[in-house]
Amino acid sequence: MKTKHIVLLLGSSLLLFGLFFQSSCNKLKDVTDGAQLIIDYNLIETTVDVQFYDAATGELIGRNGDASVNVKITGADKNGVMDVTGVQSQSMQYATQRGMVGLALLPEAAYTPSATKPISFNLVADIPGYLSTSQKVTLVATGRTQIRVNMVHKDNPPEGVTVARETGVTTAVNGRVENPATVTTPGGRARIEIPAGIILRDAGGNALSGSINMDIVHFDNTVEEALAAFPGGLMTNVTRSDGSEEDGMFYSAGFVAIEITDGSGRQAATFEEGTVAMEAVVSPQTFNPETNGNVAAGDVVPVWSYDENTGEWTEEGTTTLELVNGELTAGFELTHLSYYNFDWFYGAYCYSGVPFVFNATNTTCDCYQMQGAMYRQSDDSFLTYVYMWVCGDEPVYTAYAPGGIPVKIVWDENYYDNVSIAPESQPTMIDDLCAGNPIQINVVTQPSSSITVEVEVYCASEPNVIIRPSFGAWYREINSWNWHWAEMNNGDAEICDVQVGNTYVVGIYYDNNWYETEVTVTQEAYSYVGFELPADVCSEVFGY
Amino acid sequence: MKKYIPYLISGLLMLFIYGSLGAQELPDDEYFESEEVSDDTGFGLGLGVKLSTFGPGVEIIAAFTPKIQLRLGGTYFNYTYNHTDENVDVNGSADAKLGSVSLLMNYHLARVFFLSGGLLYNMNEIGLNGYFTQSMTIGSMEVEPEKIGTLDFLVKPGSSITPYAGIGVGRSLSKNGVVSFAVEAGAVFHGKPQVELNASGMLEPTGSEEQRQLLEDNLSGFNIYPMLNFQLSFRLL
Repeated sequence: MKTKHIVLLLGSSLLLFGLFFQSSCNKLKDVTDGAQLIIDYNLIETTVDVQFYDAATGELIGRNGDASVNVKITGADKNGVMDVTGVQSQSMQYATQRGMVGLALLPEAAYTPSATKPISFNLVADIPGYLSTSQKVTLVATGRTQIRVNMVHKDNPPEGVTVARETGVTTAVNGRVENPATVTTPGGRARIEIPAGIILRDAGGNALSGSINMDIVHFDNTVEEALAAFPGGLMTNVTRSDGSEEDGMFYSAGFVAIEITDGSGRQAATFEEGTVAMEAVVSPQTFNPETNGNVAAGDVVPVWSYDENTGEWTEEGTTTLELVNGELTAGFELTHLSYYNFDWFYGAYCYSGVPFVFNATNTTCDCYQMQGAMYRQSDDSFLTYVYMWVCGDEPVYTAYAPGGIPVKIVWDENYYDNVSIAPESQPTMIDDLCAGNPIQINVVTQPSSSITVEVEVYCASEPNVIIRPSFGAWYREINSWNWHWAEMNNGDAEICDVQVGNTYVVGIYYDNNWYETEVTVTQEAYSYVGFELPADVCSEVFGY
Repeated sequence: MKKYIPYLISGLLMLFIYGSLGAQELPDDEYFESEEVSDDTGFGLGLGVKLSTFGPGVEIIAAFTPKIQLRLGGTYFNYTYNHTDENVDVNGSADAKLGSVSLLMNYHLARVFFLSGGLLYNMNEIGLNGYFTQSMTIGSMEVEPEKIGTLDFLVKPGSSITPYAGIGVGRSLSKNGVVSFAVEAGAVFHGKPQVELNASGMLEPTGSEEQRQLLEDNLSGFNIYPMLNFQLSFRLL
């Protein structure tokens, strides 16, 4: 009996273990073998791309990599600004590369812009040889915003801007000016008189000493190139004389920038024991919104000072236009040194304007950029540049739009080879950006090609963690300086208006550096799956 | 199926050898049965409790002949382990659900040895869930756990109705006594496991169909689930 039981047990066991062995053991693998942790790196929801142009040449400043604009972030929400790769500068200063800087907002609730909770900050731009300027940025929605800032080179100003640069106009001892000095811009457009005995101090309270130098820059408000380079822009935020703040737009009657320095580079900011006299010629073609006509002697114009370090305007008082030697002249006694502006200011604004709908057929790309310039209809005065990122028939909203006044937008026809504005939409006349029906823009497109790019990157120290990046890049044809923007979302990008066989320069901005390379397009789809990131990028961004 | 044939043949060969050794009459074995209470009529009905690799459960056993018994049973077990340690970045939970409804037949080759086979409604599931407990710093950005997302992984048998085969020692229903005890070991052929993979937030692409298929392929070798069952039965009729 025992023998039979043993035989039976062995036989059945052989059957069962054989089944196990055959079906399981030969195939067992690590369950996670080959599996990867794939991450969509799409944290950044709001980006701000800023391009700095030379106002005279129309070229990006330092487009060859030979100069860089220092950009300081100031203003209420400055702590929410970082660079587009997610790294925030402790000093809140960033440097342009090839004339561009990519900024972004921290992806936190406190810095998520909306129409009810706009996020605003100032870009204060400075580069040797150029007049310092700034631009107020107000964001009312997530997404991409592009901003253009024109800067005036003091030795090569644009049309409508006159510059006087004089060294040794007087001397100062312990800040006290020894002899009176007068500096006038070419054509007599602006004049500054420094009396003897006045004391000059810099922003830190230090007295200027020795030889005194003076730069005066006058902007003619009737010349578009000058208005487009207007420091701070014409649509901005001001502090009224009662301390209240207001958003609105300037109706300009002229602008004068003054910089007084000593041999040590100290820049005058305050005066003691006296005032400095400023006079500027006002063009008789200047539009007075209060009289709804051209200016005339006796018109009262508000005067504003501009802090070029913070980008903030402050109401200083008013001046009355006088006829001096046959020219309308505005004068003002300066108690501190700054940039000064003779402007009327009106504050009708809406944070989110009426939508624009772009009607295009046969578009090659899902998204494309439309850009142009906005003018006030009443005096045909330049207001601001307009950039819209158009995706299909999705409406595009104008942020921080001037309300209650008719404006027009003249669209740039040269940005793409295959996208242009239909004649009936060029220019686009708008009665009120803050009210009314959606604005229909008809776009004419020509057949073109695009390419797709797929990217997955990893760090060598964590090869099983795959990152699908979201970022933007610039590209241009190798013989053109017309940079185009392309966005990658979660590792996928479509690049428009690119021809197979052509060579392009592709660049990205990362951590205050610019990386560019030449690429000859040889196919319609590219895949960079398994691309290893540099170790320093892994360490700084991901901590790997 | 071809791969199983050699082992089925081996098993049948063993049964033939056993039969040739003259197992014509089932012997008594006092180790697995209690006191005798009835005549050997062949028919019987009993209730059993068991503890198996499908969890604890109960079973109704019907004996039609001294060699053949039919068993209808059910088991269920659920255990959840939550790993919550705020000192580490990733927490999670593991959820093991074991359970079955079985309809089996025992064939006694000898008084104490039996073969068992049948079908199970297989309710086994193993789930894993992972989530970040702390913000992650990427560049200058603090990424909240909700933004990072979660990862859920669930493995189920390839088929809900699964065949079973096993061998046992003892009796699921006493032949003549009240109490009996049986131990059996076997295998449940549940087929290629099914994987469900879901991810949210930044981890969403990790839960792609390609990744799910990869994990399923890696698990394809685990198509047999072992059965080990300890059962205590009480004869009612």
